[in-house]
Amino acid sequence: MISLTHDSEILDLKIREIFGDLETKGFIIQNASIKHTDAIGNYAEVVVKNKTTGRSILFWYIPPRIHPGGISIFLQNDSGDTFSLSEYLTQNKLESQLSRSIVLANYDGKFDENIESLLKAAKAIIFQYLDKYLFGGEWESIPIQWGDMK
Amino acid sequence: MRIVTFHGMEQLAILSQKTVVCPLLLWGSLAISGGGVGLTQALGVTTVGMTNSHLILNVPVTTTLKDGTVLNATATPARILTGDPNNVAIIGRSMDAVNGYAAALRSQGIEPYLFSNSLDAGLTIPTIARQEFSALSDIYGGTIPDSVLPSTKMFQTNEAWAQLLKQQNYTVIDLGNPFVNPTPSLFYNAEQKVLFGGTK
Repeated sequence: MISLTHDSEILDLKIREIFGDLETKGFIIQNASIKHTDAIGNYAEVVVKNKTTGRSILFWYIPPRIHPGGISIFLQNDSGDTFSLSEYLTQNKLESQLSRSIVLANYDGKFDENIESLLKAAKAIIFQYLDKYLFGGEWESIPIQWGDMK
Repeated sequence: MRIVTFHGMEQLAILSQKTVVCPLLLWGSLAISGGGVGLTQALGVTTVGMTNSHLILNVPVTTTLKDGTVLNATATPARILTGDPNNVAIIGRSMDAVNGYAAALRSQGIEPYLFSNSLDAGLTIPTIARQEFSALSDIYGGTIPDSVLPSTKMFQTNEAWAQLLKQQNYTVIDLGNPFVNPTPSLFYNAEQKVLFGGTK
């Protein structure tokens, strides 16, 4: 079984390849780290943060062990308010094709190819819809998407 | 549109195991359009009953199912927990219903406390709870299994919120299950257990 550490290194590498241009805009790509919550178990996280504005993109990779595997991508402001790309798409009724493009299970190639394709799709969404939150002073609180759970 | 201010005196009867009746002086504003339709009427809200009349409303609410089906219902309290009439919280088996009912109360000058993004009264949803919930929701296609949900930080925060309402003597409006959703909600069940001692 390939380790989470190995997967996180691939994630780290691909994020640097695809989001590296953010470093020219004051963002720092932090090294991948292994995190843990009781509900998720271990997962990998890469934080891309602008320390001046406090705006961040967080990439979480959950390995397919306890749960189905996947990647979640969040925007976060300096006060800790956060939303995921999928929540943003759902809230703004921009689902279907865009939502599918950021679901790892929808890619059937090798792990590194899948990560790369997903990250490119995510970058396109961020730059098309979320650049004002990432680079500007604007912020929008996106409601929690409860679905049928609450 | 013109704004008409009114001052009214109403009797508030608090519904509970231990019924308490106290006078409540309601000061508020009512917006009346050219056609004579008030704010609450514009929202399609009807105030019913003489008891707790500022809290008991019939509010048309809608929800959209995953397949796009739109359901309509009327949100109205199934039960109310006695508490401080100035601190009101809402629970129910649909956040669409809860949010709709909250909007109707706001139109009457009452700011209800909901379990949502930005909590106050000494409790906030931690960033990690929001992100953990979203990540699990992502990988399970929008619905975290009941076997996983109780271990999430969001679920634990929700239980803590319900306990806080009880400790701080909130009046809690339980809207029940206005859309007659056949699927139980662990979140809602936990809130009912903490606040009312069990599900209805």
